[in-house]
Amino acid sequence: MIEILTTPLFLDLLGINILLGVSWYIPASCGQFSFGHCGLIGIAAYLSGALTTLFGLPFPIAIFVGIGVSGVTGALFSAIGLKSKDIYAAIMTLALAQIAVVAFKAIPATGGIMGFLVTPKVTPSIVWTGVALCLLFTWRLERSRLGRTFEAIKTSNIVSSTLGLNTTYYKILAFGIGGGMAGLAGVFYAHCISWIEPQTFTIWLTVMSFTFALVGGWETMWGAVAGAMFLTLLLEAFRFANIWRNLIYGLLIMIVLGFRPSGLITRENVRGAGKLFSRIMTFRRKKSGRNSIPTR
Amino acid sequence: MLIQIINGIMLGSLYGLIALGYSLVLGILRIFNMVHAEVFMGGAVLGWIVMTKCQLPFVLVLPVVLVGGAILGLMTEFFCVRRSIAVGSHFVPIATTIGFGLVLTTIVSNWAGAHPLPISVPFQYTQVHFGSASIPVTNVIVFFTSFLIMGILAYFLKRTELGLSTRAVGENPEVSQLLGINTTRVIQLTFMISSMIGTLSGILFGLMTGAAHPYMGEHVALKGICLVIIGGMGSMPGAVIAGILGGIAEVLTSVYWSVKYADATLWLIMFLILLFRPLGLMGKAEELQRLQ
Repeated sequence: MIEILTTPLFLDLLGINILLGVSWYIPASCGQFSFGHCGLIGIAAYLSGALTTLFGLPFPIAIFVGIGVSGVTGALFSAIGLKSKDIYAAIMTLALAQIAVVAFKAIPATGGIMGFLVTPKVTPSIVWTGVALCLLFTWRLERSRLGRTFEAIKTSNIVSSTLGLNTTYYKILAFGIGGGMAGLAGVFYAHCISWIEPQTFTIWLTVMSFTFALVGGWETMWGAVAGAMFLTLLLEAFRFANIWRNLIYGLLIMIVLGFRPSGLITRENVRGAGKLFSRIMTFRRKKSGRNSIPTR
Repeated sequence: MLIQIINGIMLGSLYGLIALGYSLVLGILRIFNMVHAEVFMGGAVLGWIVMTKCQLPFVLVLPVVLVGGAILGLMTEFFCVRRSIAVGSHFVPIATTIGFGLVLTTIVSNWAGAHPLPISVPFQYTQVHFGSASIPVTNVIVFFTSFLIMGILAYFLKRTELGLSTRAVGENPEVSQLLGINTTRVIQLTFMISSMIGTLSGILFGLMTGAAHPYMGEHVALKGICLVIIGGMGSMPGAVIAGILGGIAEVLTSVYWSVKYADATLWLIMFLILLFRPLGLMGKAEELQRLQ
């Protein structure tokens, strides 16, 4: 068990899963449901794989192209859906997922339905640098004006539009950022597994990413991170269940959301953990005698 | 050309039926019932169990499928919807129903195998001649049954007291509760009827193609969502018309262009419709306003 946990492949996949969870969390933090993550990941994986393997371009260029194209695609599809209503954006991303798989199967240059071989380029250090940058970005985003705007829109669409916020613009932006992050996950995935085929990018990949975010908790980004780590380890532990693992997934979603609709880790939990952490730190300082606050 | 259009209409009547199943739940609770796709698959698999596995007579299919649909509908309402609609966010019910669908798909594919399950009926290869074209008799059955079910549903919703109370809950749950309607019962009933339509359309699709498949829901029935949006939110005639047009478009794509692109046709049409007419073909603006 421990040996599996320290292999480079497992570390890569753990990092990619965290990216998936967080990338799904960003539109969700604006109140938007995305079905299209499998499509966005697939587009980035195919495009970057083709760039590095078929055209021989360097890996960093492939990363930027993957992030850019996925982000723009996510924003475009959601923008068309948002002409009508929030839930239409979710259905438009479902359309994106369905169209993308058909397109991957139809393109002969990337092997059609058989898939194609990508030169592996990713090491755990690259993946985890990416994860750290994305987490830092999301952490800053949550605390910025933009993050608070997302929060307001999630809480009430009508109230935030009466406050003069262009809600449609911010929702499209949320889909764009989340799509870009999903694109990064796709680029890493292609260059880590090194074999990509259309069957990987069906709707079940989206189900996986939103299970991470929803089961972990979709009020803060730490929920998505913890959900991704917890579920990846859990599924590794349930490897003996083999064909029944999807059943565990489905039951987990139903049970967790039935009894705890905002996921396992809510905002109160994160705040409580933060307070506990600061209390421990001040306690230590008092004990060591340095910087202690004089008591009356 | 004529025979392809006829085939398209037959497939489209079935698509219209699937879309009605989605539209019924959408009209009353404003949520997308994602488990409908797997209920559709469940109907076809029940048909396979009755006809191929147990070798029972064809007549027994109808009661088995209807009872199975009713049970699945009640389970969906109880396990996925009752707790999560109280949250008020549109995406908790979407996620829980997807979770339930995942459970159903896994059970069926592990128990019966992830390969096509043959459904054979005695009249499978009989043909009906219509002018110069000859059509399989199963397609004709599918066409007439679909329209029969649509007619019954329309009568139920427009003429009976229960149907009126269903529509009242869809208009405004609080006020209808004040007027003495048991909203929980009405919601349960809606899920039961919607799932019964789902299983029926599943077995009809099974008759048409001669096989059931554990993953058919994902490939076929999800198109129902797209047809609801093409037809216009909350408009039942819109869903049926969109279904028929979509069926024709899909058959023509697979014949004159390539089978590879057939699965994406409807989603591309939806893309174009939303681009130029955000309400859908026959949608009303006030229905859109009521969505979350």
